[in-house]
Amino acid sequence: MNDDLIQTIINDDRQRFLLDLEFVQTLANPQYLNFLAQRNYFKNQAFINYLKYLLYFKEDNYIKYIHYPQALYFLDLLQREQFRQELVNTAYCRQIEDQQLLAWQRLQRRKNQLLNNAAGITTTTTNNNNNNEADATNPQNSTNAISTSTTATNNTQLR
Amino acid sequence: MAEIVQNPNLGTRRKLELLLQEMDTICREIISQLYNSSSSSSTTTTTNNNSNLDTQALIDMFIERQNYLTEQIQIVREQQELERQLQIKRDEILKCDRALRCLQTYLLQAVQVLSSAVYQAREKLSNIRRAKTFPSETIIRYAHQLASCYSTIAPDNWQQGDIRRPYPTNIAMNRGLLGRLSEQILQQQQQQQQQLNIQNSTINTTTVVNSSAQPSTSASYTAVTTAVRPPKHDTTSFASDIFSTLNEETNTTNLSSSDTDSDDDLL
Repeated sequence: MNDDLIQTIINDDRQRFLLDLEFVQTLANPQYLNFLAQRNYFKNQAFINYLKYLLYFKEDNYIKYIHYPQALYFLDLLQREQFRQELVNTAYCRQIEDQQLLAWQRLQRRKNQLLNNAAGITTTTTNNNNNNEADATNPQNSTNAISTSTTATNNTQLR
Repeated sequence: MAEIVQNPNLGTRRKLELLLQEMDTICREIISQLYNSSSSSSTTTTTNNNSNLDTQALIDMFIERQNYLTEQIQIVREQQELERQLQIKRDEILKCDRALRCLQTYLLQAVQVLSSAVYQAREKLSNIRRAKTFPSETIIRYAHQLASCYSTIAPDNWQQGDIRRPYPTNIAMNRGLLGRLSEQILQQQQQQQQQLNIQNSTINTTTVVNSSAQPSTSASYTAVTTAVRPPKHDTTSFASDIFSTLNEETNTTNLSSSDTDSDDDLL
């Protein structure tokens, strides 16, 4: 009966896609990865094949459904045998979770920094343009400001 | 002595030294002659005249050297003035050197900054050339989608103890398809267990457990579950939320047309 229930879902394409989408996004949760590793899911060859199959979510027309893009990074890592073996350790998964949260917060701080810098630079460049002194340092300041703003924007875009 | 004074290769100091030495020797010679002449007062007149001439010549020489000396001292004054001017120029040169070095360091810094900016700009251009193009609206919509569920950047007011995470949490996972699927399977197992217990208690074990609940269609399966126990959770999974909103926007789907039936099934 359980198999029939699963069969009904698998036969329905929409349900199957939703299931795949849900599962691939849960892979962003390191605690869940630890759960799967400890119950020997990663030793099942069918499961490993399923993980390889889920790589289709990296294509253009499927990636737009992903809300948690870190999941795709973990999906790539899960293709490697060594990573799957390491996930059995709870300490390792906790470390991954800590790094995830720290990176999450760091990006937020960086975003606020860039917003403040952009606001600061626009005010200093307008001040320099309005200044009538022919001092040698003024154009240097504006070039420095412009260069830092370009490198900052480059850093955000390259990331 | 005139050749020495007019020699351009000798320094002024050396000339002065030579002049002073000569004047010194002439003075000694004059004094010794005068002393000799005064001590030998009984000599003949010719020797006296000779010695007077010698003294006169010496005195002339002395006067000549004294004139040379005053000339040299004048030259020394001029040279001192020139040296002062030279020192002023040297100081100005030092100042200019310092300024040049400052400008050079500024130039080097500017070169470094510009070279890194040019390199990054080149990298960006190569990325742009390699990239697949998407309409900006799609990108902005996707960026908004990611930002709204705080999946890549933390919310501004996030503190320790906040349950929000960059991945789906246990609550969301239990609300989803997988969670409800496992719950339904558990319920079925519980039902089977109950039925087994009932059958064991009445000692009529001929009926097969699966026969009554065997689903020929998905609709009959849901009738069994809803009769036993209504779903206690919110019936939308986070995946179906995503999918339904994006389907409305894109209006294209490659999936089968059993959407309405599967919606009823979920309820």
